[in-house]
Amino acid sequence: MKRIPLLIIVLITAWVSGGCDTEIARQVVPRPGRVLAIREALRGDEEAATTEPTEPVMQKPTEFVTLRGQFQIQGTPPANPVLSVTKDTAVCNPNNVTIYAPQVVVDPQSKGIKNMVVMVEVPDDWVHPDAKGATDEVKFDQKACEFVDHVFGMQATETLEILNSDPIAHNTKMEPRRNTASNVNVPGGTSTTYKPTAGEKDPFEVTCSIHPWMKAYILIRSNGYYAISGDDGSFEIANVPAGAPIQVRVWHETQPSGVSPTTVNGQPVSWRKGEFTMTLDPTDESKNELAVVVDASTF
Amino acid sequence: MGRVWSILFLTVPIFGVWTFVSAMNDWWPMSGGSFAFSSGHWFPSLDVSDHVKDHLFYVILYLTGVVFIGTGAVLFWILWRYDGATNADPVVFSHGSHALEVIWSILPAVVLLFIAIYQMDAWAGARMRRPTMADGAIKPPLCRVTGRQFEWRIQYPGEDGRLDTPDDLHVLNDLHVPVDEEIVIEIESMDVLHSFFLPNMRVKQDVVPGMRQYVWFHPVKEGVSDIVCAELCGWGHYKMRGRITVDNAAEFDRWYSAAYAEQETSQFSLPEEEE
Amino acid sequence: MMRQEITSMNAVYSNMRRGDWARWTLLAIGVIATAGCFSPAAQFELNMIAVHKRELESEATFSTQYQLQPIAEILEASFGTPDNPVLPPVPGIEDVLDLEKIKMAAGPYGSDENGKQRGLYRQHCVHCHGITGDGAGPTAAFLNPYPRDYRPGKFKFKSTASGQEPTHQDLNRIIRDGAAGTAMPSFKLLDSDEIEALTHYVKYLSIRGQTELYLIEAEFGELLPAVVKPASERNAEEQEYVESLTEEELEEEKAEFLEEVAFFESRENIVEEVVGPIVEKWMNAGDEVTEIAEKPEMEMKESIAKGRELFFSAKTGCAGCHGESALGDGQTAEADFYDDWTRFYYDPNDPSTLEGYLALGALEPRKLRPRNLRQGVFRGGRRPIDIFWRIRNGIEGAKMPAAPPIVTDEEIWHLVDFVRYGLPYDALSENEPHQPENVRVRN
Repeated sequence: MKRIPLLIIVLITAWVSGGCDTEIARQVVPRPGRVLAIREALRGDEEAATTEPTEPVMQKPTEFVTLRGQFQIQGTPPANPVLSVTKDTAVCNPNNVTIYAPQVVVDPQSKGIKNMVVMVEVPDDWVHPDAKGATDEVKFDQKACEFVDHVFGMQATETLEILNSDPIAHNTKMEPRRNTASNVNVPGGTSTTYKPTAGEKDPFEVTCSIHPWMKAYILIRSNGYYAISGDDGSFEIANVPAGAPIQVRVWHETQPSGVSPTTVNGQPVSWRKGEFTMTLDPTDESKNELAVVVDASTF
Repeated sequence: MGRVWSILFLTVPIFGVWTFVSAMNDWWPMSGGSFAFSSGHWFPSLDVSDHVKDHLFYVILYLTGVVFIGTGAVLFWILWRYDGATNADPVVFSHGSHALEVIWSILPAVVLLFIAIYQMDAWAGARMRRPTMADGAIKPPLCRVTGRQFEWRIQYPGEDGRLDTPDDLHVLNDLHVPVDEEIVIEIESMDVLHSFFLPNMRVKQDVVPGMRQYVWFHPVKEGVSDIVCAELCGWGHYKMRGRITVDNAAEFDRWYSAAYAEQETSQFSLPEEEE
Repeated sequence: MMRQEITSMNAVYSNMRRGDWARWTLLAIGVIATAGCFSPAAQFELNMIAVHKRELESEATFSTQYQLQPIAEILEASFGTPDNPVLPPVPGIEDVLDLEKIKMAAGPYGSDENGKQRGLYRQHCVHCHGITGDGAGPTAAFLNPYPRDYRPGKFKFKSTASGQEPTHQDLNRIIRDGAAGTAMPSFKLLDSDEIEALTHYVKYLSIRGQTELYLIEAEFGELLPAVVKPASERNAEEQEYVESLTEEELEEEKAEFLEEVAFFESRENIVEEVVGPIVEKWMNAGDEVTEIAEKPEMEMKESIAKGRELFFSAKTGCAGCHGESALGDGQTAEADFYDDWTRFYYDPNDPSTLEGYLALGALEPRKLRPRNLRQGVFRGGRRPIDIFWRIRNGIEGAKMPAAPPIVTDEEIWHLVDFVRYGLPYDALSENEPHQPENVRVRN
């Protein structure tokens, strides 16, 4: 009888040390009840799918106005990484200079930040007829082993013409989330076309396997409510619905999950994931301007 | 009680002999049940003209069988006869028997010598007497089989008779050979030790990386049998199994041209449903 | 008796008879044996690498209760478990996946009442490709290249263009013929309905994996779990955010969050938003096969010469990667070359996050190499049409781009001839498999 504790100790030690399970950081075990409930709902039992989403009563827009704004940096912009241009240097870096990645591009005069992406989300039926359905062929070029437009926007209805103005071959490899992935070799001086089918939420990377330092971003939207800030950090989106709340999102390549600015129009703000809701003024255009200040430490 | 041990030792030769006899006759216990032993524990059917290896095997099996039964019986008799509990005879001390020692040294030596001489024909057949053509030149290999973890890659030389030319036929695990013909196969390994084993052809040869070897056999029966790897070559050793199909010459040619046409497919058509 | 009770451990030991020890040892061994690898029923594992990636992007951890668990539950409700697969009621799914066949491949290894093989996947595939099809089975780490991870639904060797799903025949063929030059063996000797079953099972794991990725990246990963998480699980930023909300706002956001989760779990979302589009792509794959232009009639020598010219021209740029020697040593080969499955979690320019992924079971990144074309080993098959597809469409997931449109089909045929019949056999190529110097030709 006295040996029982010892026996227990031996057994427990054996059990523990003999176990093959390694510790799993986050154990996720589906709850059988939930699985059954979801399966029931999947079978189409209308009873199970009770939660009929109630259409929220939305304010309708009354006018279409232009949203304008400018991004400015506060503080010293961070140094961009140096690109190692290791091959085809006669074309890619003929003067043998140090080439920096165009990540955070700031205009020293205006302190404007280039290549900030502003996207406006509105319900489909709010979109102004002029802001959708463009069918142009937009040109996306590469020169001296660099994509001419580091951040490039287009509508899903447009056709992308990928040019190569270099005498050497490039290949444009892209992997959008919704559209078809593509990786096509574009020999020097030729072009290829890419036809998107759907709008994307965010810009995606475009790279060249032959010259791995080359990188750009393409944004494909289902409408024209997007803008990419210019050299002085300014942007403009025309025909945006006013008088009803719209959602605005700001993206930058170093902040893919959204930019958090310090102040907007002088007021401190806290945007979650670079998103905020605003209502444009249908009458006073001057109120539809955003002066966004982003701290240099954000990048 | 002591004699139980002698009985136990007796079961060894009995069980040993029974195992062989039942394997040779395909007697297996619990046949048909879900735990039944599968049959086919003896030689697979002999598909080649050459009986010499089987013959040699049986000669050695019977020779060793006789010795095995004899030693088992003697061991049993000694244990039974001189069991400590029942034996009342006085202990006898001996300095050995010179004559006995001479006998048990000479006899095995003679037997081994006999085997060494007797097997020479089988060895020469498998190793030295490479098949020749009508004109006396050595016969070129029908194909090259390369062992690779974990598959057999087979390469036929094609019309020009030379390997590693554009008209080679490459197949995997599926060796076809014509019947009634001396077949020479070049065997190689791409990575580690394998062993090319054709049980029905009585061919088994280790393939060593960097070494080119030839095996030959003369199939006389049409049919499908196994190619296995008989050398533990890695974790996937068990799955390194192929198939050898012996066909008549016309069927072999038909298969060859179909396989070659498949390899050279340059037009796409949806294959028919294989259901 | 009293004496024994008050003794220390040592005394207990000394009081034991030898027989006890033997008995206990036996017992202990028995316990170790049963406790040890008493494997629970096989389970699909959540794609934690994708979760981790999403977490790094959004700088917030997933909530186990409100995000990870619902994902696992939706997956199990739609696709079942490895022992008992089911299919979600998506229109047209029966044209893509055959549940009977899937069941033949699923489950533990064995045979059914009729003596038919079951558990084929676990018999033949699981040790490399893993139970979830994540390409990280027990042997995966020892293989080069690594086994395919089916979950993104991307396959290299197929008749359709990059971005399109492979056809049923493409997958069937690679199971049948294996991938030369890799650890993927040929399963030619299996019955054709066993190969069919495995093909369906691979598609099943792919569609399940794609569903999972979509749920993680596009649905649950878009939610901000700060409001539903207990304070202890929030990071500083999340805490700050929650504190900035009023009680009312917090409740509102919470309700919104739960509503989103309820929507994700609804039939409407699963069938129409998530699985439907995935199945549709698989369904259409058969119609998306890249057409093979008729091979021009031409003297082989001439065609090879034309192909050689094209190979080294700027028009195709083949030599850039495959090298002037075609040994796969073009100057690009030195660059950071990783396939998409690795790039998913590994950024060669920022290796700092790698550690976290490796801890989750990601495989050590391994560089890709442009193919050495002199060996005459063609992973995706040696038929001319296979090579035609490789050149015309590129190789998805790898660095091989599709041929530019200015390269005509006829020119591609010349390249095929050069790669297939020219390069491996020209004077510079080492035709023979490697032979060390002490080669001994027997007989």
